[in-house]
Amino acid sequence: MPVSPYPGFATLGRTLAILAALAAGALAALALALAVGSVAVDGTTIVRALAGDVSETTGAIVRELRLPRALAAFAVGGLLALAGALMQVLLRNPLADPYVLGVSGGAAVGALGAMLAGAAALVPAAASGGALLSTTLVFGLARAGADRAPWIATRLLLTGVVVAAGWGALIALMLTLAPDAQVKGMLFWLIGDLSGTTPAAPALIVLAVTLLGAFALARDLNVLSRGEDVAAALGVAVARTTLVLHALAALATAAAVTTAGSIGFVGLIVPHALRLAVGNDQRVLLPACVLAGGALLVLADTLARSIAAPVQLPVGVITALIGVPAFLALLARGRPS
Amino acid sequence: MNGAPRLSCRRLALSVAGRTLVAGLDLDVRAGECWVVVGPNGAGKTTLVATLAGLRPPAAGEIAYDGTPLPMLGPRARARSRGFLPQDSVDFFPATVLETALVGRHPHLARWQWESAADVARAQDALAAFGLAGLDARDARTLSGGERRRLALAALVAQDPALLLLDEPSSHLDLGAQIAALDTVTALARGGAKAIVMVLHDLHLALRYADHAIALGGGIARAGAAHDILTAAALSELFGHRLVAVGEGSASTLVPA
Repeated sequence: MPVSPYPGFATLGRTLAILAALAAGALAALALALAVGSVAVDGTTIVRALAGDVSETTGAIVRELRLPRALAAFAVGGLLALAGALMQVLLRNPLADPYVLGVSGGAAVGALGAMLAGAAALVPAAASGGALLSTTLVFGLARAGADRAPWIATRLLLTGVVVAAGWGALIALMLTLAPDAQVKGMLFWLIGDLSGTTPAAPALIVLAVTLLGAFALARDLNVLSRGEDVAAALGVAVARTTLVLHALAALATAAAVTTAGSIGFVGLIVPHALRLAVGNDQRVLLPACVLAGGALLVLADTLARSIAAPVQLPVGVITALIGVPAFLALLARGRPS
Repeated sequence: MNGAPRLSCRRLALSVAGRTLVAGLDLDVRAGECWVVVGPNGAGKTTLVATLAGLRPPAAGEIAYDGTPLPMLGPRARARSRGFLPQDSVDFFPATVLETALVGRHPHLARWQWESAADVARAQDALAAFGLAGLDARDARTLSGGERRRLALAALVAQDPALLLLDEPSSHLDLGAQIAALDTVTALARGGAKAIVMVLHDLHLALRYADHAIALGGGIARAGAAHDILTAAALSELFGHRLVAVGEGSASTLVPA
């Protein structure tokens, strides 16, 4: 084990310490989510409820209502932060996230289309299809004629912004055409909402798979963050690696959007804030994003369902209300380059 | 050592946007040699070193490292054999000086491996060799242009390739730093194990450091011993302006008449 050359240098030991601290924070957030609500539950009762050893009502509230919802929130937050972190490296632009690139927009068009068609059961599939279609579209358009345009990352970002604007117009069109009774459900979905009963397991599985896949490529990502030419010179198979990473980011976004609608700001702000705090080594940053993004969304969702109880706010409102000022503060505090 | 040149190419042709820059170039760069590429703007110097580095496909011809044809080497194997210094580097994200130099160790580490104490020591030695000792924890984006150039050279030296391909290593450096940096780089070849091909704009530096040279211009590439290629007559024709020799020994150069 090398001695750290300076405080903050990313050794394996420091990485494990950071991740352990974030994991403890995430567990605390999950515990809070299980405790808070119309029925307050204390710590020992939570442990007993999880073990299946309390009165029927409290046990059901903790196990069947709060736990699945908290786990879904954790998975979605982790997926969005991971997707954002990957896209930021791929585009070498801290502004990239599933929203800016139109991936969430594509998912929203798919989901709203399914709702309009009266096929509620198809919403998850349509949302995933939309996310993957959008990624393929953006990636394909940006690659086309790439040998004449060296600034591939800029092209990708521009293509994403334009495609996102196109999805935005389609969303507005569908909202205009939708019958009044459906509009509220559609809006909740668009803003992002965890009050539905989507099971958490698929999102958690996708989270584990995408994190493992991305972590295996983490040092390649470190090199890629310095530019594709540098990465190619240092032995990264650039075309194959970027393709895999785009697929992982699209899969993560699709799973998140399918579970909770399109929640903004997590993918943008979590990687950015963590980069300022722990540095840009992807071997630290990617797992840290999953833990912190998950914890943030668990807290935001707990707030969303308790702050105006019995009214449940869409969690996307909370993430935006926290996200916008936090992001502006980070930008103002960040060191000038 | 099997005696095969560190770098060889046969009948190499380069073209950019349908325009042929080089055709039929044969080259053998052996360990211990320092080659300098000179030529006017747009002659294809950058294209040549990027192609020799295997980063863009040649229009025709073959390239081999240590006798192994390039198509038989994967990206990682290439990165362990040759290092490439691009003309410019851009920092998109914050990174410390030490982290930036350690990137050179990437091709030597297995997928799940972390940099060892030996990797860190190697990067720190490389930083010290380019006058960047003690700056380990600095954000690389706060360095001056010259310091960043030396940092890029240090990362290349930390990579420890047998063949170094450098595109304008002396750019952004002041006069003293140019000599110090190029002394350090060329000492690697003089040590006997490594070979260098570098693009240089400054004819004084070319004359000072080249033992072999490639003159590119007008679709023609001439390669050979430096004293045959870097003559006043040949370079006058190459640059389209009469050049005359001035100075003596290591201070000699060619200046426009």
